[in-house]
Formats: sequence, C-alpha cells, structure tokens
Amino acid sequence: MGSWDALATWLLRGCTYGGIMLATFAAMTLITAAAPGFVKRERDAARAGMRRCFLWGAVFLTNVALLCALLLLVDGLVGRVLALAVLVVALVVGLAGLSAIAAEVGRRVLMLAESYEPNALARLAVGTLVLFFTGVVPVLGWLVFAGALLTGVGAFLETAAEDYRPTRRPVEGALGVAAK
Amino acid sequence: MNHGCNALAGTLISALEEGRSGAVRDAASSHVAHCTSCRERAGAIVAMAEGLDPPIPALGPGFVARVMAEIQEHDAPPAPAGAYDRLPPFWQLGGAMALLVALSAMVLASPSGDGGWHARALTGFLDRALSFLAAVGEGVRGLWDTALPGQGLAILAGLALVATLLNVAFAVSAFRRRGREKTVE
Repeated sequence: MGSWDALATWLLRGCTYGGIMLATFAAMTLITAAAPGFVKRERDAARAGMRRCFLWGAVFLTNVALLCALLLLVDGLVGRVLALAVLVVALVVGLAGLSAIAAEVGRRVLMLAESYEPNALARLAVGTLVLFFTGVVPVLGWLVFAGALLTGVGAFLETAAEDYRPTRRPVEGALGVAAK
Repeated sequence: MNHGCNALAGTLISALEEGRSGAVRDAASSHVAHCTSCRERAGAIVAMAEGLDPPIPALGPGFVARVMAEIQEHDAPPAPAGAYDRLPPFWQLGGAMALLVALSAMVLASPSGDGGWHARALTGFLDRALSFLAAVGEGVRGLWDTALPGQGLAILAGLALVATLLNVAFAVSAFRRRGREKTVE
C-alpha cells in the first residue's frame, strides 16, 4: 500500500503542477490579449537589456520579500493585509513579465522547428510549456525558470518606467514659439 | 627552374587574382604536373590565397527563411492596440490598490473556523506564501539577533530600505535612459 500512496502523492503533485501551469498560461493569455502592445514593448525591453532587466527584477522581488517579511512582523490585521496586497501586486507584475519572456522563448523555440511566423498564442503556449517543463529539472531548471521570471519582472518595470516617465513641458518661446 | 617556370609564377598569381579558368588553368595544371619546383610554389600560393580568403561554408537549411524572419520581426508593424497598452494613470492604480486592500481585509478578517477557510480556498497559495515570508522574516531577524542582540528588526528594516532605494535608483536610471532615447529619436 505504501507504494500506492507514494504514487498517489506524485500524481497529486503532478496534477497540482499542471494546474498551476494551466492557470498561469490562462492568465498570461489574458494579459497578452488585453495589452499586446505592452507585451511587445516588454519583449523589446528584455531583448535590449537582458542583464539590466534581470538585475532590476532580482532587486524588485527581494524588495517585495523583505517588505512582506517586515509587514508580517507587525501584530494585527494591518500587516497581513498590506503584505497580501504587496504579494498580489508582485504576482501581477510577475505574470505580465513572464508572459513576455514566454512569448520570446516560444518564438525562438518555434524557429528551431522551421516555423518563422507563428501566431502569438502558439508562441505563448510553447514558451510556457518549455519554461514550466524546464522548471521540473532540479536546481538547473529552477535557476532557468527563476532567471526567466526575474528578467520578465525587470522588463515589466522598464516598460512601466517608459509609461510613467515624467515629461517636461517645453518652455514657452524656447522652440521659436512666440509668447502671446 | 627555367624561363617557363618564371612565366608560370606570374600566370598563377594573376589567375588567382582574377579568378581565371579554362585554358590558363589547364596550362598551369599540365606544367605543374611534371615540374616539382612549380608544384611546391603553386601549393604555397594556393595555401596563402586560401588563408587570405577562406572558403565560405555552405549555408544551412532554412538560412534564408531564418534571416527573412529576423528582418520581418524587426520591420513588423506595431502590435494591434489593446485596451491596456499603456499602464493606467496613478489615480486608477491607487483606486485598484485601495479596493484590493479592502477586499483582503474583508477576507482575512472574516470568521475563519478551524484552519481558516481563506487559507484553504480563496487565498490558499497566497496564504502559504505569506506564511513562508513570515518565516523568512523571523529567520532573518533571528539570525541578526544572534549576531547583534536586539538589532535584528532594525537590520531587517535597513535591508528593506536599501532594496527600496536600489529600486528607486533603477527607476531613475530608466527614466533618464528613456529620455535620452526619445531625444535621439
């Protein structure tokens, strides 16, 4: 009976992992469908500065973990609520970033299969499958997955910085516009 | 080496330079076949020519299609505009955060029974993540408390502050870089 229990445990773990993968894929598909231009800009940002994105992603997630840990040390409901909110924000940022990285990975993997113009959904599906199955490999796979996630988070932040960059108003008369 | 050999040396070099073929190449080949010194000289010249201009390897299958795909990727028109291609303004984000905090408070403050229903259903994974982070926080605090008694919390707060400052530095750097890129455009 022990071996059956072990088998059942492994099956349960496999199903849980598969469920997480499917849920992640669904969320990433939703994000890509809602904001295709944003995801494309994320991909461009990741391609233009992969190391910078990785580093910023690592700093951001470390910051989130430390903030949550600090908030959870606060007694009462407030700390838990704020920590939960921060964690949800990190989850959304992570999913949005991972969708860009999965699409890029999928594009490159499909190029190996001589498919040079795949549609966005195929790219995303293949990239998600490759990343999640790589994540099953102990240590190396975890590192690869973590690297993809951190790069994605960094790419999201780079793109967000572009959106929220404070723009300076041109000084009146500076560009030959006469002040009235 | 006779006069014919000296003439052939010039012929060989000019044949290589100009890529001549046909009668000249045949004449050179037939002479080289029975003249030892010219054979050596021809071998040296050919080796030197190959060293200067190595043969181009054969193109792999799908090379052209791959290059075309890269070009198309770069020249592709912008992706179709979606509803959220730019992030919403800060006031909308603030509203969403307030709603999120209110919902979280309602879920976490609701009567939970044994084990907490939110821990099992609504926020199962998030609750586990929170427990993990709480354990990490306690661990870091305990670690520093061992090294510097009574300073664990302050050091944890300091680390969080440093990480936040690093994030701000990254954001400022990204703002400046984007600004430079826009100026160049």
